[in-house]
Amino acid sequence: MQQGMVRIEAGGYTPLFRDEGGPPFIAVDAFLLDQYPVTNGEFARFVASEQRWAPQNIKPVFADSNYLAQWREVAPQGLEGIENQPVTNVSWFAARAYCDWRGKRLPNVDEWEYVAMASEEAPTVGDDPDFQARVLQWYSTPAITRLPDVQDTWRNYWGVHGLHGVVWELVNDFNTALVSGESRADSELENSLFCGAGAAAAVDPSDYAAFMRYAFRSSYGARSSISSMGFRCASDVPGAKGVNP
Amino acid sequence: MTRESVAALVLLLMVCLPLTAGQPELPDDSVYQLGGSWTKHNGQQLELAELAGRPRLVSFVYTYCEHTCPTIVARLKLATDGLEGSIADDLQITLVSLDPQRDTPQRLQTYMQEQGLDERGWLMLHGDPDEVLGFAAMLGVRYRPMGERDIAHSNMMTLLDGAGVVRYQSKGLGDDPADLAEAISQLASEEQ
Repeated sequence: MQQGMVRIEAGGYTPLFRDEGGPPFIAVDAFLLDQYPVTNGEFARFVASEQRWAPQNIKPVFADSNYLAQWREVAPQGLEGIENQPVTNVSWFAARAYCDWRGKRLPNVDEWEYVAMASEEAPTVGDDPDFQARVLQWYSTPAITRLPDVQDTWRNYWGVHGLHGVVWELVNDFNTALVSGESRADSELENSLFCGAGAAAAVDPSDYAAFMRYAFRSSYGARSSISSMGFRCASDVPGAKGVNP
Repeated sequence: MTRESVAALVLLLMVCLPLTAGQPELPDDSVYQLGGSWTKHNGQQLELAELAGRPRLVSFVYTYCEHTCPTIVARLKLATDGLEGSIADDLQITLVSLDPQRDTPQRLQTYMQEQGLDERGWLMLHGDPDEVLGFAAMLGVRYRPMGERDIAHSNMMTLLDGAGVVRYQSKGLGDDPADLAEAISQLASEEQ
């Protein structure tokens, strides 16, 4: 196993939206996930090696002008003070390139949401309203002005740190979220915008935090570099495909 | 080196150079900066950057779609049927398959024949799922498998100029077709 990664055992979760007649439960194979979000320091080493992803070189099709804004605004002298904070203002293209450089990949939505269900004590908290309320509390706190170092963040059952309450995190298939965005309550997708999507319906509207993540992904563009958005990488476990219980 | 072999080398250079050196550098805002390898409906390999050189109207489809895909193809036909002048010959409608597993290049070829899409005016592309995801993300196209057979997807049509820069995007089938037509004629007037 790569250093800094933890093994997530096979399992699954109930997605917020599911297809009409589709499975209520999505199985997830065992995989490896970074224990911590990628930090500014780690991302700087990537950029030093792959210079096309440096702020001064990156092509505008891969990131907007906010790309790595904190490097020039908060820590223009090296990365003093922010080295161990989660890297933010990275676009999906850049995050993907980073994981690829590390021989990893971005986690997909199902993997991320599955791990996000874990509390400190259990891999799946189920309908624990207490846990949901705590996650929601984090989400409704105004964006924190100073991000914590990744080591100082909340740790869940799997040993994964900072999944909730620090920054939003990118997933590989963010563009599978199809809410049209016109209305927050809109779970019926507009048929003129999407082909054959009318059958998607919310499963558990009480999981408002999951709904927020879904809505965030559905409004995200692959070039967007957002100050409250970071990422971590995942890897396959050799031979783990299709061995779900 | 004999005179003949030098001549042969020179000839070889003359033939080969335009393919590489003749390829103008892509602008920074060209979507072809993405790179990646694809397969055409006729089985030929293609690097994404090779799409440069002709303006394109790009949509993402899958050939088994029973919902709006046939409408997209019909609308693309409609949008281009009345074109005149060099743009009519230049513009190539490019359909990217969202279902690489079932839409093999052979299947795409068959689909082209079934739909009566000629090879000069239409191109269908097959790529591995990762390339499809990247290209779709680049153009703001969203899609999601729905059950075993269907893929919900954006009805987006993107007009790219010859360098691969986005010139117009029609996000839904509710948009006025006249907007797309106008964007194409604007592009045609610039390219002359």
